[in-house]
Amino acid sequence: MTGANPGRRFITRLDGVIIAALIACSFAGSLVYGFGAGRGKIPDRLTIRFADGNRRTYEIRKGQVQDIPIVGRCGPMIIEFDRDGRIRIAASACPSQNCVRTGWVRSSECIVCVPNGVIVNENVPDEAAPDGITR
Amino acid sequence: MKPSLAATLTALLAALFFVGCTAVLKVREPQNGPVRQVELMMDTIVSITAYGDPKTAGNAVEAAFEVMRSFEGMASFFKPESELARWNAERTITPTASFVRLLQAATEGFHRTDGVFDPSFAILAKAWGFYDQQGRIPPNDEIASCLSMTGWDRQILPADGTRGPWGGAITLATGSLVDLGGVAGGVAIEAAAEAMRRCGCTAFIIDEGGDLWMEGSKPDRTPWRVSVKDPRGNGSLALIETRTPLAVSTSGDYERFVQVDGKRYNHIFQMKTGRPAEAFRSVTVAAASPVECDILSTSLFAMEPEVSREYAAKNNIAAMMIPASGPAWISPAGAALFRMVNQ
Repeated sequence: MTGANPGRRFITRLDGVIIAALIACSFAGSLVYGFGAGRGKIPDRLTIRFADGNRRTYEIRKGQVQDIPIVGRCGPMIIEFDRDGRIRIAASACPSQNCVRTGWVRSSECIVCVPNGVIVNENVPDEAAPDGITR
Repeated sequence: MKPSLAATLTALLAALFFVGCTAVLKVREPQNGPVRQVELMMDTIVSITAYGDPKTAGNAVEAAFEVMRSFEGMASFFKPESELARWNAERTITPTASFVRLLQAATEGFHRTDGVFDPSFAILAKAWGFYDQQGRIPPNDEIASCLSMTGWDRQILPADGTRGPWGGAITLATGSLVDLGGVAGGVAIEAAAEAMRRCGCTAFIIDEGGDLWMEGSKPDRTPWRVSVKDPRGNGSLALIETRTPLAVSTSGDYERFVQVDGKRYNHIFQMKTGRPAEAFRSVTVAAASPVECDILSTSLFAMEPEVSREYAAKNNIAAMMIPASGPAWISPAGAALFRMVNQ
């Protein structure tokens, strides 16, 4: 046992504090960057682009049902946001009603009414969605 | 002086913490885009997504939209200043090189499908009230009269009376009308993809109202994933995954139609009867070219189910057909590509 100092502790109290702090920091890092990654987040805002190229942004009240009335080329529309963070075009004055038939989509997905010239979420990346939908 | 075991452990943990955080940050780094742009054009929604260096991707997307806009300006049925609208109105034009590209694609489609694909259907669409959205069922004699003004090979004539290539002026036969909607999207996608490649973009997807073209490899190396829409629901009926360049196109009865007395009539015509095709809810085709895909999905939709299935099988076409009644059918060439998810 040459070189050993029987009076010296293997880990001091200060070492223990430092190690515990580092472990806590590691977990905090994982929580912030790791576990949250890939989860579908409900955005804070909804951007709607109109036929004339103008964009309007609407605040989303999370956990609440919310109706956003807008006016497109053909007339009024209602964008509905539900408690689960989904959106749909609930009503539209367009002739085809394709946008209404699309139904609920995730709040990060793009939803469109061509006759009304309205695009909701034109540039929000949605990692869970397929690259394209053929229809 | 030797470091204590505690100090060594501390250094190790610190190193692990640093490496772990760097790795996580790297995964989340948005350095490879994508750049995505959405526009309402060609009577539908067009979106283009490009990966890679953001500046290159941005320039490529811009160039692609420029090309798509030029095709919209050229092939629009409704815009009076478009080359097509002028042709329909003035009867004789000297086509530009890009317009010739559309005409050639239409001609190839017509011959390849023995006339099932025929852009001279427009006179029928007009009679059925598709263009003014005032749907009506024309009487049989009116349908017969319209049919006499169809036939791509009979209605388009060189203005000088010769039967040469598309080099000179062309005349549209009296009474007939042309709608290039069945081919313009595919040609525009093809030209837009060429423009993106010229800009140096190597991974992108172009979506023209659900007609898709994808090529290259995404930064995360995952395959391109395409969902085939359920024609009677909001969900997905099938999935396609591909790492190779692929075009996917669907013709359906649910997006473009007119309603007469509560009954829907879709926009794809059977050129033998002069009536809208009713045998399918949707037909999806995957192919190596957007033009081919566009033409084949429309043509298979317009054929009778047995003929359509036989044509797809015989010509090695990857197709998924959803008939008006009965189960979905996937062609032998499509079996490895389409994965049903909703049945």
